Amino acid sequence: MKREARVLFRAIRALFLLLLAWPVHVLAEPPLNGFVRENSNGAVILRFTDADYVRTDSGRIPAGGWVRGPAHRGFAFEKMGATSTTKTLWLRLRFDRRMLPAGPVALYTENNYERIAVLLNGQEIFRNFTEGDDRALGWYRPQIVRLPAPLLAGGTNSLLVKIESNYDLVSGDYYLGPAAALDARHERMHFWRITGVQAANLTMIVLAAAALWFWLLRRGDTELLLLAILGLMWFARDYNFTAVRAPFNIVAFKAMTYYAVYPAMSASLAFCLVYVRLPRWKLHGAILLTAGVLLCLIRFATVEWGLTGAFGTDSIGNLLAVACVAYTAFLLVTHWWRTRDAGAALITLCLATIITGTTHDIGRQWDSRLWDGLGFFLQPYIGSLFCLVLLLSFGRRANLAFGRLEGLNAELETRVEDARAALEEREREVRELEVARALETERGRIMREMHDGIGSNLVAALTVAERQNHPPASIATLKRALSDLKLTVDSLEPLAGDVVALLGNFRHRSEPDLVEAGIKLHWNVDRCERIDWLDATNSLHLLRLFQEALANVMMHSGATRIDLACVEYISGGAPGVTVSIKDNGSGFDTVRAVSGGQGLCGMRSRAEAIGGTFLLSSVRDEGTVISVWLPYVRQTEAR
Amino acid sequence: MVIRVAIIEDDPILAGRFADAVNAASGMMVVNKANSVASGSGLVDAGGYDVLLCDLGLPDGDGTTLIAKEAAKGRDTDILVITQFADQQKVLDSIRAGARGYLLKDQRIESCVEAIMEIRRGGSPISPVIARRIMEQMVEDRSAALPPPVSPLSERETEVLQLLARGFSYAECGDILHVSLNTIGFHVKNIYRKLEVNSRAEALFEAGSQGLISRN
Repeated sequence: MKREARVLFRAIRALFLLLLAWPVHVLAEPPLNGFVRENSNGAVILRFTDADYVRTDSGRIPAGGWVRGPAHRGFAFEKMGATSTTKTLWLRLRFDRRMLPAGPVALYTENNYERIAVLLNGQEIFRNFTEGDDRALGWYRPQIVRLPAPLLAGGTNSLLVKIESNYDLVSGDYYLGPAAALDARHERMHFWRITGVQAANLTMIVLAAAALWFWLLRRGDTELLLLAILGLMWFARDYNFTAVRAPFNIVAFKAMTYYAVYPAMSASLAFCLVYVRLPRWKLHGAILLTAGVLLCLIRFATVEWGLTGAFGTDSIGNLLAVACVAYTAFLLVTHWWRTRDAGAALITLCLATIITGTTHDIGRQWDSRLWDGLGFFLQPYIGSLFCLVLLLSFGRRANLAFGRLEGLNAELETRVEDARAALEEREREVRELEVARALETERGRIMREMHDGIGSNLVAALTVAERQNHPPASIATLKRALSDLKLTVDSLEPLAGDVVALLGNFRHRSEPDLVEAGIKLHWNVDRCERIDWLDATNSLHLLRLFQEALANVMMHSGATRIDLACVEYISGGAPGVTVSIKDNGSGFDTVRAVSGGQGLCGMRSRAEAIGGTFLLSSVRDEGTVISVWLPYVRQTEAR
Repeated sequence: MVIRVAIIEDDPILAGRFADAVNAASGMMVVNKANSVASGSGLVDAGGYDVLLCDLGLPDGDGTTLIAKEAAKGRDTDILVITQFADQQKVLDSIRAGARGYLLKDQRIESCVEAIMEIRRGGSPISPVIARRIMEQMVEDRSAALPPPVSPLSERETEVLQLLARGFSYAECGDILHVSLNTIGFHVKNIYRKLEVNSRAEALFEAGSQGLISRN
């Protein structure tokens, strides 16, 4: 019994020791790392959910000290130090070959800051940097690593990843699966993370340079300057995404990357306001640019003085950036609401896209880890979105300029045409003036000759005749000669077809004779249009006709009153002027007078000679009316 | 109050007839005579008359210079131009020089007495052609090359001028505008005065624009 109990005790002790020894075995050979199966391009791939980590700067493969933790980008990270010393993080993934289908197997990894080397079962199979290059970058570049079949064990395998950085040290994400499926994933990610960003950046920097050049040519154009600034700043910011090597000291380069985002953003937002021609854009633009400076200062405070607080530095920056964006969005939306301008709608839409993109990026940053999103950042594309707007802006300007140019050309053509017409008109006027001046000179010469010669002699003769009591017939003849001379002189008066002035002058000349004859003149003259054909020759005909009529009244009628009228009158559908002289004299038999009277015949023929119509009517003891109708346009001219 | 008259006329017969007519009329007398620009210039300098009758075609020059000289004296003198057939342009030129009326040589020399009386009462004669010319110059057709008239015509003066240009007599104008005959004559005299002022301003302007007169 005692012996049996002793055996039982030993057995229990052995079992206990065995049980005690088991965990020791577990610690020495830990179980495989955890994973989840995901579907990718029609194949099943494994995403590691945990990994074993060792943080050491020794440079050798760590012999032990592995700590298990989640295999999620950003799980194991270390902020940059004051210096850019090389920091190393070792990561171990253990898996069973049998978990994967037969065929080529690959490892896909991304988001390791900054560079990696991969070892399979102790053999290095991949490295994306040169040993000792402290400026090598690669955090955003997706990596695909083929696992060579000869190195793969049939059962448990161990993958070691050495993550190195001279700035932030961060572990990334790891996928294992059929090479074809992961190749496809790599290709897609490489396009969105590297190729697309490079293309966008290159386009942007070229356009920014163009904008800068245009601004140098047109200094007053704020829109162009803002475009140049935002293009350059976004380029400075986004270069980090695709670079394989920092172009200069890594700390300075990273600092440039982080600081550039603020001026880039504020210039972009200010550009939006200028683009839509927002009222008081200068004030709002200044606020945004000030915010940009402020954000730089906040960044400086958080990084240099360690005032990180609850969120990471990028989160604070991004949140403040979102505030600025919201401020701008508010301005733009209200502006669009007021103006319903297509440009404002476009820019607002653009800004909405940026807000969405920025939110997406904040959520998937390694220090916030809210979601993975599209698997890449949208921010590198924001700058190029502005480039699109820049192109639209250029297009709009070009369109406006072309429109203006066309308008200007049309206007210039019209002006040239107008000027040519004006010149022709002026030339015509000058020619007319020259003719008029020549006529005037000639007229003056004739008048002078009449004045100094014939006229003086006639006046002298008349004076002598009157003083020496010559026969009245002689005096009358001299007076008639003088009158005729006066008529001739008056007909030369340049009245430009003003028949009323011609009549007025005639009246002025005749009034003293009428007064002497005791005849009262009643003046009844309307305003009339000019008669263009009434030149000196025609005027003389007309004046002689009137003089004849007046002479008849004074000599034969015994009238005491004359009505001289001038009215516009349409005869036979043609507009014209009728001048009539009516007296209250004795009148006469018109039939006899027309057949026999030389004076009346003369008047009629004069009227017809100038294209007018002569009418005569006389009633015995009541008086006589003669009238001449003058057309504005003569029939010979009308034809 | 006797109206003192001076006569500048080279034709002795005509000068004699004017002098006879003036001296025969009551209330006026000829105080001085001249027959050339040279002697007329001395006459103008001497002054001492109320009305100057001046011929334009003098043997040694243009009577217009004497008219301008008299006008420049700024005395209360009325100038009447003696002209052959009322050559309108010459009359207008003499009005621009300072004349306020004109006498015709050809007929009724004796009517010069009425003209002298009339002009002393404040009225001036005008022919429709001259009215029309003045309108062209001062109302309708201001050339852009010239300065605006320093003495623009008043609305009433323009009305008077328009009626006169249409051949209405002073009495008819007075009836139409409901003013006296004398008022029309007064308006015409003012129009003449403004024409003279403006023509002098234009002459200054043209001289100035040609650099003949320094602004300082």
